[in-house]
Amino acid sequence: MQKLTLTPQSVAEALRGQPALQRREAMIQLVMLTCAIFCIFVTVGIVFILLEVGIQFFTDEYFANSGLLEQAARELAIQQGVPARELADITRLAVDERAVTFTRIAERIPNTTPEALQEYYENLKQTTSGGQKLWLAFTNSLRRFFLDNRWTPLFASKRFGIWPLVNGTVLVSAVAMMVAVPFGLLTAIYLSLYAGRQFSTLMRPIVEILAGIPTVVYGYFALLYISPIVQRIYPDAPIFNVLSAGLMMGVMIIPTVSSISIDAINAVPRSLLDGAYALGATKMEVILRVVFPAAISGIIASIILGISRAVGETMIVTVAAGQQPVAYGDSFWSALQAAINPLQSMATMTAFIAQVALGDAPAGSIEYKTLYAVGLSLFLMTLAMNLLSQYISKRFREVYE
Amino acid sequence: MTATPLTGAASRFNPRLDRRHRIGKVFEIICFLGTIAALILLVLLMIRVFSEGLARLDRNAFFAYPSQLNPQEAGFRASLLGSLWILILTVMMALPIGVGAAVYLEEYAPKNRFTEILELNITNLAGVPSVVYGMLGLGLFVRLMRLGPVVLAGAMTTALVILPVIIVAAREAIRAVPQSFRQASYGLGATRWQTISNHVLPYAVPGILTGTIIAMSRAIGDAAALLVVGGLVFVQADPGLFSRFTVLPLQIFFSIGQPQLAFRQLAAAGIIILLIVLLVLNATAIYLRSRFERQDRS
Repeated sequence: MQKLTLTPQSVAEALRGQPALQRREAMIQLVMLTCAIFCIFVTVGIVFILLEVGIQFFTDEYFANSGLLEQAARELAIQQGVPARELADITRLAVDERAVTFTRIAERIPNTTPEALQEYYENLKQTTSGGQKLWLAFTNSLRRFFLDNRWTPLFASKRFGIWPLVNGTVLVSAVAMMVAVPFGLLTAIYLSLYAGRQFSTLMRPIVEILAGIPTVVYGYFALLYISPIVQRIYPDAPIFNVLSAGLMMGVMIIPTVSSISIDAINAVPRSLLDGAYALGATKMEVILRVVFPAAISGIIASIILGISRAVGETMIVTVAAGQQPVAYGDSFWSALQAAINPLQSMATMTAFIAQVALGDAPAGSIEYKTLYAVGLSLFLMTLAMNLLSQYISKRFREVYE
Repeated sequence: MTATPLTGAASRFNPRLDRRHRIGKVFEIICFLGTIAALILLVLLMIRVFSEGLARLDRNAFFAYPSQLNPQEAGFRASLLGSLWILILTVMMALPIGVGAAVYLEEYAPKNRFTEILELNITNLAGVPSVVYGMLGLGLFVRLMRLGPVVLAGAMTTALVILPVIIVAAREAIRAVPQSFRQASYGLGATRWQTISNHVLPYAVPGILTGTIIAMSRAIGDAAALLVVGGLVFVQADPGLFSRFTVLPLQIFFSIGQPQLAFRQLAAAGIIILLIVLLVLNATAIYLRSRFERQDRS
């Protein structure tokens, strides 16, 4: 007997004689489609806004001017016969238009007053075309954003090296993952393989609570409860430190790691486990040597998603990790030590965004544009990790279905 | 049946089963401890925050405006109302759009490249940090649309934050509606929309509601997006649609930043209020889910 299945298409077919009803159906479908397309607009909106102001940052006059000043300083220095090896030291001083900058540069060039330098610079500014300035701004800003190693855009003497912020973000995330990965995986293993059905169904939503607690509350815990404990163990640690912020963030991310890992573990075919048991393996051996490797791509996907959460987390780090971008010392070792020491206060990318939001930077100022340059970097970082996580978990699904 | 005696190399094989089982038992205990460790830590922290803030949880905490000068008498009135405004507006905006998108993806969408892009897009939106949504709100609603840093701009931003949460929950709820319902409805000559509105959606309501409540608790707790949109302001009046605003998490954030002990207690009191609101919301969600599940079985 043939099974009769009614599909929406066959229903639509039946409507052929009723144009009014057909029109209504089409209208409603269009409304629903609009709702779905709205989400694409949200993404486009995010990208558009971030790019719009972000591009303004990378083409800002500020950077064109410092590029021109650099050129002026170099040309004057060459005219005055400054040896070539000193040129780089002089041009490095050319960062902005403040009087102190002119004085500092003029001090290094013989027979040159700050006024003469300024005059030369203004002259150069007038003779340079708009297109050249734009190109100068673009190259100069990119160079200063990616190659400088200090971040002080809110100070009078501005430096725009993003790495100290990225460093803070990575370090906090690393501490967080050191908590979230082991505890998340232990939770996943216990709830999916050891716990009874009842206990498991009871515990899963309870573990999810950890992710539902507002992050500002975690920030409070980190600053006022965890940080004093950290200080008791390491008396030199400041009250705002990466370690306590990272620990609390790790607790927050446990459910992200555990719930996706549970799904991955549950997707491992029963026959694989039975085969291992039949060979005489104990439960732990089965879990560590069979289940774990079989579920590894799902587990890795969950960890990447957890890292992405940590990178985007704002309130915990703003409250508990401080607002101070890490400053590297001169030698390689002191820089390395500064980069990986969690017992210091360190600003992250998100903490900087919050800091600017708190300070209410006027629209159009370089500080405001910096916000979007950082936001763009943050968005791209989390997007890349989310896509990677999806790609990996998709691959793993293909294996077992 | 007797076991065959082992010969040769196999006779030297020692399974050491006792030892392996003992290690296995230890591993199980470690797993169990790992599962509950974070929860125990959370309970301890909660006990501390309750002991610190409970004394401060008086009438003033709910009905007084914030005050920088005497935190002993300050309260969360402005931020509680702000949170309520934002929450209601957010749900009003995000729920219809979210359910609409979910209905399209589950009931209408053909299997093609475009649908794939839609789905990928929603998954990615769910992973965008809320602070980035805040920057979207700041750039688009506050500056480009010239709304200013007001309640409406904040609510629109939060609506975008929770939109993916609602869509994912609503899709799951709609997918759980048995195919036979649709078949029966089509069989009676109902159109697609009649089927959806009369049979699919009513059946999916509990699931959608549960998802909405979870999204609401995210909207209440989220501070990063609203911090970027609205800044940290001192609100001394009840908020309206176009007034500047503060919300509960933001006022807690402000109080943490103050050096005086009284502010610290105020923050603790605010945290207690926030956690209780979330507890009530989540309990409602669990209650709804269990109640409707029971009805299905009977």
